[in-house]
Amino acid sequence: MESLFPTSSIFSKQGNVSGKIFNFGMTAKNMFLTNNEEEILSGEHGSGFQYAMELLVTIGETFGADKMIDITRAHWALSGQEGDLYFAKRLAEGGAKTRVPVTTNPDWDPQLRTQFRVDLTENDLTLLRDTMETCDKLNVIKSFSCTPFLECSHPLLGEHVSYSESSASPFINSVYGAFTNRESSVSALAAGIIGKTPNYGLQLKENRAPTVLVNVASEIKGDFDFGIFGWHLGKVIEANSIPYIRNITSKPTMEGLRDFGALLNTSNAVALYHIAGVTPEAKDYEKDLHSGIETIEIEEKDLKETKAEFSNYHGEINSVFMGCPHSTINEINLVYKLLDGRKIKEDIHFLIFTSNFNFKILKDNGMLAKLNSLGVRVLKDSCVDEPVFKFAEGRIGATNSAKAAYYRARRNQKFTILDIPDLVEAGVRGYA
Amino acid sequence: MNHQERVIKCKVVGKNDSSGDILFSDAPFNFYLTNPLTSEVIEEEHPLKGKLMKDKVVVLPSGKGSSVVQVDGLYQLGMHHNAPAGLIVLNPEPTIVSAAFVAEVTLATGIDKETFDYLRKAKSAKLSVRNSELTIKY
Repeated sequence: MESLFPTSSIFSKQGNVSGKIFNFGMTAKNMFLTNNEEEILSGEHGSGFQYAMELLVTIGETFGADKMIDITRAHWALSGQEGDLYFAKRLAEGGAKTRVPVTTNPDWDPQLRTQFRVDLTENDLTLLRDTMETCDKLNVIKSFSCTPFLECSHPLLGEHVSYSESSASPFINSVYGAFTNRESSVSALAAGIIGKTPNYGLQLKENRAPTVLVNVASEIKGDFDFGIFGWHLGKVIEANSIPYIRNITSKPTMEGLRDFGALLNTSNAVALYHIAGVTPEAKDYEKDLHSGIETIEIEEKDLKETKAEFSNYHGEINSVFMGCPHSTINEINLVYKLLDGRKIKEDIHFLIFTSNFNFKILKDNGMLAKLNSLGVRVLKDSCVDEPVFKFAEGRIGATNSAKAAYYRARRNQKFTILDIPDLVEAGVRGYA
Repeated sequence: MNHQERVIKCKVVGKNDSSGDILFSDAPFNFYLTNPLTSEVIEEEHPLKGKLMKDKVVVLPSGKGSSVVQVDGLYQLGMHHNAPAGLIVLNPEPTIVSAAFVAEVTLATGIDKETFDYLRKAKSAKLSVRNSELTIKY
C-alpha cells in the first residue's frame, strides 16, 4: 500500500521552506472519489490542487466521509502566521487557484505601522507582504473581515460551504442554517481551491440534531448579555455538543448572535446551536426533543458570576479594544452617540476594528472624522491579535470581547471586559 | 505476540510509519504553547508543562483553541526539527488533523476510550500507516 505522503519532506532541508514542488502518492482508502477527484489527487491538475485535495481526503478519511460534495463558497481564516502561510504558498506555487468565492480574515493594515510608530521585525513585514502576494496568486477575495457573513457573503438555508474562523462557523450554521464543519483555516482554504469538501459531520442533516437541551431561566437582554451567555454555556457543555436553547425572552440582534456564537466557540468547541423561535432549523427539532437528552438549566446567578469575572478589574487602563469580531456600523455609531461630544482621555488608545466595507460607509458619512475628533480610531483590515499593537503589551485595557481578551493574553495584555456604554465611560475617564 | 505489546487497528495518516516513547496527557492541547527551539511545553497550568515533545508519540484527548495557532505551533516545531514523532488523538477535529498534515506528523485516530486509557501507562508506541494500526508497548 502506498504511503499517504511524499517520500521527501520539506523538513529534511535546513532553513526555510524552499517552495519546491513535490510529487505525491496518495490514494483514498475508504472514500469514494470521482474520476476527476482521483485525477486531482494524483497530480494531473498540478501539485497545488493535489496538495489541497490531499488535505481534504486526509480529513475525509479521518472522519468517515463517504465522498466529496460541492460547496458554494469558503472563508479562509487568514492570519499571516507562518504555518498558515506555508500551506497557502505551497498551493500557490503549485498553480492552485480558487474554484469558488473565498473570503479572508484580516491580517493587519500596514499603514498602522506609521500611525502607531512601532518597530516591527523584518519577519513581521515579510510575512505580511508574502501573505498579500499569496492571496493574489490564489485569487481569493481579500475581504479582510472576520464577519463577511454580515457584509458580503451570505449563504442560504441548506447551502454547503466551508467556513473557518471560530466566530463565523457558528453563525453560518446556526443563524443561516447553512452547512459547514468547524474547519481549520487551511482546510477551508483547501475546500475553496477544490470547490468541494468531505461529506461528514455537520454537512449531513442527520448530524445536526440537538444533543443537549438548555433551558434559560434568566433574562438575557442586549448583545453583551448574549456574549456572556455564550461564554458561560461553553463552560458547562461538552465539546462538539449541539445545544437547543429555549425560553429566550428577548429577540437577539445580529450582533448579539455574532457574539453568542463567537464566545461559545472560544470557551469551547461548538459550531452549531439552535434557539427556539430564532434560528431557522430549530423548528425541525422542537417536537422531537426526547426525554433522554441531557438538560441544562441556566440561572441568573450563572450569568451574573460570569459578568463579575469578566469585569473584576478596577483601575487605570491604557487602551480600549473594540471589534473582535469586527464591529458593525450600528455599534460604531452607538459609541459616537454615547460620547455625546466628550473626548477620550488623551493617553488612551480607543480602537475600534471593523471591515473595509463598514469603514468606507462610515468615512463617506463623515462618522470617521467625527470619531477621530473625539479621540476614537476606527481601523480597517486588521485583527486585534496582531504584532503591530505592541504599545498595549504588558498593560491593561478594556474590551467588550472576551475573545479578544483570551487571545491577547498570549501577547501579555490583560483586559477588563465591559459592555459598550461602560467601554465608552472607561475611555473618557481612563479608568475602568 | 509479546505479552507486553498490544496491537490496535485504527486510522493512521502520515508520510511514514513512526514510533517513539509516549508522552500522555488527559488535557486538550494546543501546540502553539510550546517552545519551538527546545520542544518544551510552556503552557502554564497544563499537565505537560516543562515536558519535551521532540521525537515523542504524544497522546491527547483532543486539540483546543484557534486553528491558525495550532497549525503554526506544530509547523514551528517541525521547522526546528523538534516535532513529535507521532500523535494519537482520542477526539480529533479538523484543526488537529490539519496541523498534523501541514507539519507532516503521523497521526492516529479512531481509537476508543479503553485504548486511550491503555496508553496512559504505556512506554512507547509505533504508528503504522501501511497497516492502519498502533503497536503499544509496556
